[in-house]
Amino acid sequence: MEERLLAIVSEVLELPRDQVCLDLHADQVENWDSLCQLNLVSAVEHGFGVTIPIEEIDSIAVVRDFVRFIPKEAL
Amino acid sequence: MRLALLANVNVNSLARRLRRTHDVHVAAGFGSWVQELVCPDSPTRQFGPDVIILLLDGSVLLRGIDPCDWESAQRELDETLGWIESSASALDKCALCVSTLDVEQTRITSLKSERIERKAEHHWLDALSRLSNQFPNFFQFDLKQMIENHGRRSFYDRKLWYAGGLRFGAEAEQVIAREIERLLACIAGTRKKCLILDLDNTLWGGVVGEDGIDGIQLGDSGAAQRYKDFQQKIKDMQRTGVMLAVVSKNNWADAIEAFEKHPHMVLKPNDFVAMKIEWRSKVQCIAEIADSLNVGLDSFVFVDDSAVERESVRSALPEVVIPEFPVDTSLLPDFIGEIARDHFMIRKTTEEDLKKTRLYREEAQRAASAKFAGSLEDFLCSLQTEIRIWRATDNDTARAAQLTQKTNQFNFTTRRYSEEDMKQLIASPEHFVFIASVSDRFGDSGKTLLSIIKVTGRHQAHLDTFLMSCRVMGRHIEDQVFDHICNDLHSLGYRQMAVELMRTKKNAPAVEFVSRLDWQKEREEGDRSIWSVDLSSSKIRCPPYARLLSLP
Repeated sequence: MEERLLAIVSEVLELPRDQVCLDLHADQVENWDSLCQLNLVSAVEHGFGVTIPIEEIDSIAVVRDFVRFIPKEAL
Repeated sequence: MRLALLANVNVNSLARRLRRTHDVHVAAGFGSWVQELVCPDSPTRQFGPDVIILLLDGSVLLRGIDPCDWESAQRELDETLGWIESSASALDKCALCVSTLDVEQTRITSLKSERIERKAEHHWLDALSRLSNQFPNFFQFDLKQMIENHGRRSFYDRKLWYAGGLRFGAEAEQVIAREIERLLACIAGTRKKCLILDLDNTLWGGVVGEDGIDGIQLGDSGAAQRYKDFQQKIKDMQRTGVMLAVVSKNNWADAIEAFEKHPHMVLKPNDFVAMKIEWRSKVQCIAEIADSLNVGLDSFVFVDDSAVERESVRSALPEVVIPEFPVDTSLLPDFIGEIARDHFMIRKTTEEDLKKTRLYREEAQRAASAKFAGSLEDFLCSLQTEIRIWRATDNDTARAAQLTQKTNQFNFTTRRYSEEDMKQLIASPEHFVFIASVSDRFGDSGKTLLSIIKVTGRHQAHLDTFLMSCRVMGRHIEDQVFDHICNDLHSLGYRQMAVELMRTKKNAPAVEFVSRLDWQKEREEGDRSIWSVDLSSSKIRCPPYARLLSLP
């Protein structure tokens, strides 16, 4: 799951895969603006078939924050 | 291409996707599309786009209108259409593409109440069709169709909408981006010219040599319909000017019998510019077709059910486009639809396109008589060629623009002009636009030569464009037309003409023409050179094979 998540993030942020880790913070990435935030949410939802409620979007600031929306079964 | 995206919703995410391949401008703030479009000094207009795409969301456009009040809705739409119309007429150098409308039923009404959403969609569509007929630079962008094909529920993304004003989900964005690419390719005029088809298990099901005419699948009912529907779409493509050719390993007699006698055969031998039905390698056959039609291999799309044939052509002729054949042949009609949209989309069908298959067949016949008729001179004389040349008028605008868009080989400068540009050039007192048509005993090739001359002084002129369609190449027609234009200018008092030549990957025939004449090269910068022609002493360079008529 971790690998798939990182692959999705690297694609949306247009960053090389080796520069993406679970602790990557939005502030560290120039591309990661509010528009990108939405694209990330959307890509994670599609990639794992999960729903991230609109209320939670602002609470995501680090790649790791996505993990809690992805159930263990998706592993 | 320089592309400006305007919308009444947030399209920044879509723009990011398109920026990977194009120079894209997006207006700041998505409520301001009207100013951006209409004001000549707006950032969008100042950006100088080649294409403006206006994506309007129907539900947002009609937000605030009472869902039962058609009159108000209509007023709102007409006002918006008014802005679009006035900018379509003001933008001449730039293509304007406006989306068709999809209006969701966003309000709750009674069972009996009027459904203004559908009315609004149709009202909009009618208006866009009218604008499209009125302005050569206006195009519809069929967003509604994309939404219907994809399914509305997954096209729109509620969360993205409420959280960021983004209307389209990630998949929808991909669909739109792909359609925009097709549109841009079509506007840039980079379409392919010829579709090469296999026969057995491609144009019909089964193998005609083994199953016989009665055994092949092609018909009006059941599973056999898929091949007929497939052929019908190919026939439609041919009507828009796509050339068709057959390359098949088969016995000539078996295949031709199927074409002539099968009651459900939509395509007939006359629909093809070339038919190579024989047992030689397909690579060789395709190369020969390219040769006899005088078009580059990069203008071909090859459709064959055999992976082996596809691979052998792909490795030997990498310029040919070869789509993967569908494993499930019930998808054949969709497959050919995608090919048509990806490689053969056109802006408008001209009469010349409709005649094209006939013209190229005649060309092949001419090439065949060239083999037998002794010397080239004898052959050229035997053609009884007639050239008609005249100063272009409004009636010639569409074809003249098309010639600049499509001609790559015999073209001095490869300058592309839109219909609107051409209209202005024809009307301009500082330009002479000559157009010529060519006919011979095999048929009429239509308008095939174009020359644009800019007046640069009392006795000086500059040759901006000199081109000739590849249909009439190799017959010294260019020499005669060039001489005629020089003489004509001379009789009008011009003494000197600067001939501009821009070398490209494809225009070797034009370069060859210039270099075999003894003109003086004035200067050269990179691929661009200027040659000076003394109009008072211009002389005939080769015997005139054709009769030339100058029309008033």
